[in-house]
Amino acid sequence: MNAMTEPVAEDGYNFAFLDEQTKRMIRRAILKAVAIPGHQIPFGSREMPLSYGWGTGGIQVTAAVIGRDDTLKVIDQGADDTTNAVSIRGFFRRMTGVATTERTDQATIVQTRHRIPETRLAEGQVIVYQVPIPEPLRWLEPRETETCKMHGLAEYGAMHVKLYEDIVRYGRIETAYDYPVMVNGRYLMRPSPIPKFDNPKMDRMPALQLFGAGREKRIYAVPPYTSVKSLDFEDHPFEVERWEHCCALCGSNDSFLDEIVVDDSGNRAFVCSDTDYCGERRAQGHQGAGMPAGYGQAAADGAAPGRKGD
Amino acid sequence: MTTTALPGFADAVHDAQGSFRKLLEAMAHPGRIVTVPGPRAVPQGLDPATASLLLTLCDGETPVWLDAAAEAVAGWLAFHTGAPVASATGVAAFAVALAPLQMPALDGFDWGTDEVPEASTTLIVQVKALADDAGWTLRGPGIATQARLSVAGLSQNWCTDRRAMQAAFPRGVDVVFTCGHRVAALPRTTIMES
Repeated sequence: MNAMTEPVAEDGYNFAFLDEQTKRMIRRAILKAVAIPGHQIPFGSREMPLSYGWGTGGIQVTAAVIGRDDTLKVIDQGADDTTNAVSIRGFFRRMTGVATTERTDQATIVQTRHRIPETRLAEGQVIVYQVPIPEPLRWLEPRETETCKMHGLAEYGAMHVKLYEDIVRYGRIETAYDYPVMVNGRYLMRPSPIPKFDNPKMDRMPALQLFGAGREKRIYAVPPYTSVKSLDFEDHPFEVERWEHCCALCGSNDSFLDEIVVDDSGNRAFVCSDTDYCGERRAQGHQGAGMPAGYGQAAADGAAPGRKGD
Repeated sequence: MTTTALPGFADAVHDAQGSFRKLLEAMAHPGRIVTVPGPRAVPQGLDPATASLLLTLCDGETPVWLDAAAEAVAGWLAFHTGAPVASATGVAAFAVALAPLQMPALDGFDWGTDEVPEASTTLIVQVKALADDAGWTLRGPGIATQARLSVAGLSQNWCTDRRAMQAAFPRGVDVVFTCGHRVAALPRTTIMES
């Protein structure tokens, strides 16, 4: 390997921060997770140099998987430039020296908080989800001993009752994110708090999907080309959100949109949540209707809303 | 005990990572044959891939069952990984079979339970030949449509037992075949057709 391109990790730390015994333990858990799709594998989650809730599970999974030849992308709610994404990307750059990217199609590993990129992931890529609560039955049954049995017996009636009660009360299933899925027709799984808009992307995805929950100490996985079905009813089929708007920046009418307040008088705009996708589209010449007239004035006053670079 | 102090990976950190990623690829794509980096030297009887996987996966937390043909590598395994030798098939985290024709029946290994299926044994079976253009037709998670895998030197009973195991899911064992530097996996989800 060329000495100029040899990735350099910070002195005094093992490659990717974790010690080798911890990596082995996590790797064994990942292999079991892949062999039993959707089933949560307990693991000895370590103290990480950031708080639980900031992606410690995803970081440990990435640390166990990543190698010198990888290219890492980290997103938080679709964006590469938000605090959580920037700090995790910086952490891995220091602890591994590997290349990082904002381009979905150039990454070999994508660590994500709460979105799946709009650009379809390909075979050979790995997507690592940061998971706060891995147990889909937790708010229906607080006892771990009971949820273990329910998974063992594939006894998931309680979740169907919950969704049915939504329909009785509101006329539709009200769950908008972390929408429960069945994996390979056997295990009920929480997809992590991605919008249900992203659920269909999980079904038969060519990339390997790994999930890490640090505080709850669980790892689970969906192998490539595996059936992932959102729960629904024949007369209330699963649907994803739709917008009456297009992205103000790139004009996309099929990506997940964030509504943002753009100035001090409350004007709003809808823009892509996936910053890489939006940027790529604009680079190709796609244009949206543009931001409202007041956009940028508040930024000049030093109270910048909106996002970097627009 | 002359084999005990043979060198392991040239680079313990990165070779283990490289081996793991290849094994992960094999496990995520059942039937796909991948090539793993081998250690500097291998004890007599072990193929480089078998040795590589043991160095990558085993430590003091993983009792390893060795078949009669593999017993001679216990010292090497202890030196590099600290893994204890499992006294019985039913209590092993990993089981190594260098003589697949003589290996115990699959249901002699730990299949885990319906609630804790991950407590199962992972089998590392070293075989004489692996090919992905003949043999079984495989379907299931990780396989876009179908895959092929041909493994030399397994008994007919082994195949019958493996097919029977499919009905026990999520209980079961995951099998990793090694041959030279090559590795292919057969996780418990994979459906073996004729």
